[in-house]
Amino acid sequence: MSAEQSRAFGRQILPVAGIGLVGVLPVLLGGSNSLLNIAVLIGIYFIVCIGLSLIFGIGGQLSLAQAAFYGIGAYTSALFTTKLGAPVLLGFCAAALTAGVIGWILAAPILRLRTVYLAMATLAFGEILITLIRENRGLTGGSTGLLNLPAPAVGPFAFDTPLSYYYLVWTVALAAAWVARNIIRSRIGLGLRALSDTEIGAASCGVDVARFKTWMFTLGAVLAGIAGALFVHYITFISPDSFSVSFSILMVMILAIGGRDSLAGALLGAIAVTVLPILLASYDRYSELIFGVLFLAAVMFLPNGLAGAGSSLVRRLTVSARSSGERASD
Amino acid sequence: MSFSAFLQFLFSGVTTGAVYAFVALAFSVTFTSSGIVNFAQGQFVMIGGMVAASLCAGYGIPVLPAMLIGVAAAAVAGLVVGAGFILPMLRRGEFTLILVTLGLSIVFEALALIAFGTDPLSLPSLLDLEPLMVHGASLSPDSILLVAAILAVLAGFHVFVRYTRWGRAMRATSIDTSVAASLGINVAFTIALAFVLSATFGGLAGVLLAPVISTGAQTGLLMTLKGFTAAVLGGISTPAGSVAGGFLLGLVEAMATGFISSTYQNAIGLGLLILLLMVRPEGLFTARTRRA
Repeated sequence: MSAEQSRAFGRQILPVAGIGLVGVLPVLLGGSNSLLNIAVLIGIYFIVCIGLSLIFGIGGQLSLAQAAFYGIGAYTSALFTTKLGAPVLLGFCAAALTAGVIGWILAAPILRLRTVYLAMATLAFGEILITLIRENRGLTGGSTGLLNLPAPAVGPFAFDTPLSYYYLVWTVALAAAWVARNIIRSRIGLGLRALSDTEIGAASCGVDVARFKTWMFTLGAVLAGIAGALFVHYITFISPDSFSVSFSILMVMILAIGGRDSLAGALLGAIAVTVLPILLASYDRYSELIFGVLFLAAVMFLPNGLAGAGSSLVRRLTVSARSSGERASD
Repeated sequence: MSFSAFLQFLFSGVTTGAVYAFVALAFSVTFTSSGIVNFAQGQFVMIGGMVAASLCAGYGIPVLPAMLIGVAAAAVAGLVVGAGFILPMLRRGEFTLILVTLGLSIVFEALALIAFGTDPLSLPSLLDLEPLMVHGASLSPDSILLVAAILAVLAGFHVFVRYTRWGRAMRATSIDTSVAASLGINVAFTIALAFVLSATFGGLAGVLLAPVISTGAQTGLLMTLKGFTAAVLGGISTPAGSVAGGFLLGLVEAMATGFISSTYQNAIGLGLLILLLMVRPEGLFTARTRRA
């Protein structure tokens, strides 16, 4: 099999294998609720990071506004369902729409900024939003937040167990990954890569820089909004602490650890930042330090993250396997 | 609002403004020499304050030596960041450098939590004097010291970059690294020096602030945000502009607290940042240059 054929084969087999693994994972985990909780959280982080990998990983725009859109989605859905009594699935749609509209409005002025200036402006946006949420106690419940959020339901069936919620979250995650995968391979993906290298060069090659950036930022906002809504209806309460700057930084860390220019990187990073703290919990007061050192090491020694390291390892193995195979046939 | 209340807010704004000015100047020093925005910048303020306060409270070391050791600790941390992490990573591009300094910020905070715990500490006053009363508003000697210190440091830094060999090397490096290197300037040394200097400024702010407001192990990140906001407000590419931005941010926050509400203090400062970035990304106090 030539390299081109094996790559094409990999492209077809990987999505099928991914869907299959998501399907049977609960069986492999033995139906343990605590493990399913972790899998739900990984799925939610993955959804946010799919959006971020389009904006930051492919497009090179370092946005720290993911927490803000995650919070907008979460509060929209929470308010729709508790104050208006709307069904949760409608709340999810409202969450996606609100986050998307705000993202789209914000995109035009804010995406003129670059690198650290963009990072700081998006971060500032998040901080302002958190303050507004904390202070509008009548609507949002202030620092205590809102309790007893309902579970999503379709007709009589409610997603109120870790197992059913796991399938809900991962269906959304796989759908988002599928959309993102098609975008990355399309002309838009190519244009985003081009503008991350040089905006002037990309524009001179016919890339509509402002429009591409705006739509990616909006899509990222929609995905973060949906993820936020999924999160709060799972834990059944909402408070502003979940949407602080540290969440945005965590999302960037996921891409730095996993690899910022591929969906596999977003997934590996999401798994790493969810599972690592649990494994490190036994080190108690040293856990935060170990996590920080591991993050630093990943940034310094794995320039393309875990996904990059993995794929170069696979390439090296296949090359050496092929050369030893050729030697054997001689 | 009464005049004395207004004065009180003015004094508090100038005091916090002086701290922001220190951090903004520190940002400006590393940014102009290496083009790096150091996300661990606020941690030097925390290190200086926490080391001095814990030495004083835990080991009974007098205030002045404790302060000096605090500044030295921050300078050493700056050397570790500059020489140990930034120099080897310099060719790896902007995002890697941002993430490295972000990682260092997390590590410093984690180390401080292990060493000092979560409780905030405070330092006794260096000047054992009564607060000054001005029209019914009180002005603490520590605040005056803080403001005097930032102005002295700014003047000293100005002399340093104009008239000393190392300072001129720093300016040359900031204009063009490769030309500077070809003229025999040791670029690596210059960048490391910039990081040590900027960390020293941060540490100085930390030890001088500790007698005014108690300091905690988790205050670094907020200080980074505020200092960067101040630097961008005034213009990160000029030291004097950054310092002016620091005072401006401190005053805006204090007046927002006084006239509107203390809860929106952060939001107003950050809103100002977003607005200003839209209109004048070069900062308020810089000559307008056409960017390529």
